[in-house]
Amino acid sequence: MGEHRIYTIKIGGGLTPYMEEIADDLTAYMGSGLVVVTGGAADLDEELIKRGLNTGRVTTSW
Amino acid sequence: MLEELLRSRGFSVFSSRGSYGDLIQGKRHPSLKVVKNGRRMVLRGNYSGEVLSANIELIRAHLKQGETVLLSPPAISYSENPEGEEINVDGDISAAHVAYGLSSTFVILTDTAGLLKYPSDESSLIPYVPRDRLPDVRNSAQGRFNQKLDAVEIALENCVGNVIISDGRIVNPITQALSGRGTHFS
Repeated sequence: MGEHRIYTIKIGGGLTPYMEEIADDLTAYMGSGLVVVTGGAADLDEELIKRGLNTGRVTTSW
Repeated sequence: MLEELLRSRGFSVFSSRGSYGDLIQGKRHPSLKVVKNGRRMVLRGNYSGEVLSANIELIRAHLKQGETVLLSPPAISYSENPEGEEINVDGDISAAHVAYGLSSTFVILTDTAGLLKYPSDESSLIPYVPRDRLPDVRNSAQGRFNQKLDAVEIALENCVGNVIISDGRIVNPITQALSGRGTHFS
């Protein structure tokens, strides 16, 4: 067996309609070290949205 | 949503906000300078900020248990409140800090073909960017794509192989990205 590889996958917030296909592909990496980071809207709950934390993206005018 | 999809496919999932366990630590910007209707304004009471670090030790502990780690905003900030408060942070930068800390392969899936020379023309994909050409391609990047290039820069310092920005709207998007699709940075 090869080395134990770790993957970090960032999934953009605009990809919500494609999550089934992405999840299907992720199964190919089951057993590897897998970290998935989602964008702003993907997995936030209602409470956070009400508090204004879900801006979709972070303003970067600094 | 993704958590359920992964569990239904047999994954063991550790799903968390970045704020839990200091998984993603940031620094809150209590006010934000914006331009609205042509006027420069300062928004106060803002809960967004920049990413400072990721708790790699905790992420590794979950990976060692065979879990897939699923992270989403917000992060935690102690800069304005010593007890900590949740802040919204950029997901690409968060992911880059994770990839950097883990020395992992790093793929950013987005809703374009990759980095485009002309943002409205998907056929103008830039397939490869060596690290020393990053400042040049920033001219092509607009808006949030500059954040993605910031993320690429962070990750390139300590990632395995190329850092990739690729299309998440296609079948097998990760496998295709690792096979050469999208924009590869090294």
